[in-house]
Amino acid sequence: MSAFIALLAVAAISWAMRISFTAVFAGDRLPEWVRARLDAVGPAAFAALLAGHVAGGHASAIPTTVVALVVAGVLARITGSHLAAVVGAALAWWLMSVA
Amino acid sequence: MSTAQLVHDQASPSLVSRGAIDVMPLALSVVPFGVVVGLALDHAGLVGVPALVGTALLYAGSAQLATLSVITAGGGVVGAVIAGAVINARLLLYSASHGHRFRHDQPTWFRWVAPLTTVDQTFALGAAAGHLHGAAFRRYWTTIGLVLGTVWLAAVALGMSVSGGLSAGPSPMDVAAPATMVSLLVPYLPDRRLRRVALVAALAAMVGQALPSGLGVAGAIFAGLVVAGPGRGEVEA
Repeated sequence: MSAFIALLAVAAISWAMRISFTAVFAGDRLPEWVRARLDAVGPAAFAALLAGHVAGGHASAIPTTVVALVVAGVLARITGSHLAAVVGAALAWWLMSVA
Repeated sequence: MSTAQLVHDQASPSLVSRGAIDVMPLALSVVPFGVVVGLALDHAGLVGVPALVGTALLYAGSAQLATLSVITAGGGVVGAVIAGAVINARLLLYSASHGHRFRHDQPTWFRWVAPLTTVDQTFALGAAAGHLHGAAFRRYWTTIGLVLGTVWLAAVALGMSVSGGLSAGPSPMDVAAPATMVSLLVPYLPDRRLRRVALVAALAAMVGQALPSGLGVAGAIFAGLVVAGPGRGEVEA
């Protein structure tokens, strides 16, 4: 029961954050400092999540993961396909693990 | 081919199929993580309809996993809620960044309900489809949110149903989530300023890895924005 209550509470807080600037506040309520940097939110968040995931993994798995992610990056750059990046990374990871 | 290249006609009904095609690879890549969340739900003693309702309303895997981990470790409801909320703090920035597209020329329901599906994947696809506004954006966003949510719930349900029957060993799909992040990040990297942002955020996240749940990532995003300097912004006053 406590898990369900906690999930509902986090869901409510998350929903409040999600609608904060879509339904509640106008964008011009933000400080100019923040507004000028909003186009950088995506790369900052994705890079932070990516690095956090890699650094949080088992130390022995980090080299394999890093190589697989480099493969993903190259494929994403060349093909522009998310699917190619994910499949390529998984394939690279598997090849290194069986080698 | 990018979404922006693919989508030219904002009134086209093919935006629904375009959205489904765009989001499907990202949706498939969240399946392994969804299974893990399903296992965590089962481990926390939350199964069946309540588990799926909570999952659907939260619609955020990392925050859900952190919340459940604290509960399972005996950390209490308050600690679990704080852990999940801190991890999801970036949603506030996502809302600020794309908020104008939900406010301008959109019905009230869309402003209040549709942002429920704001996660990293939908935010990135929405940003890539930056030329869509009004009904076209509404159609595209609703499609990617529903497709991603359906696959996510199915994966979580799968995780709950196979609990105990899965090997705990590593698998190639363990890299699916970070590989997705790489593919979301790559389109920004040709821009020198955004490349600097990504580098600083990544370094800060690694340094902050030892911080309590979510704080390292939140701090890293803030560090990235600090070094960003003024750019073109996203919000229209």
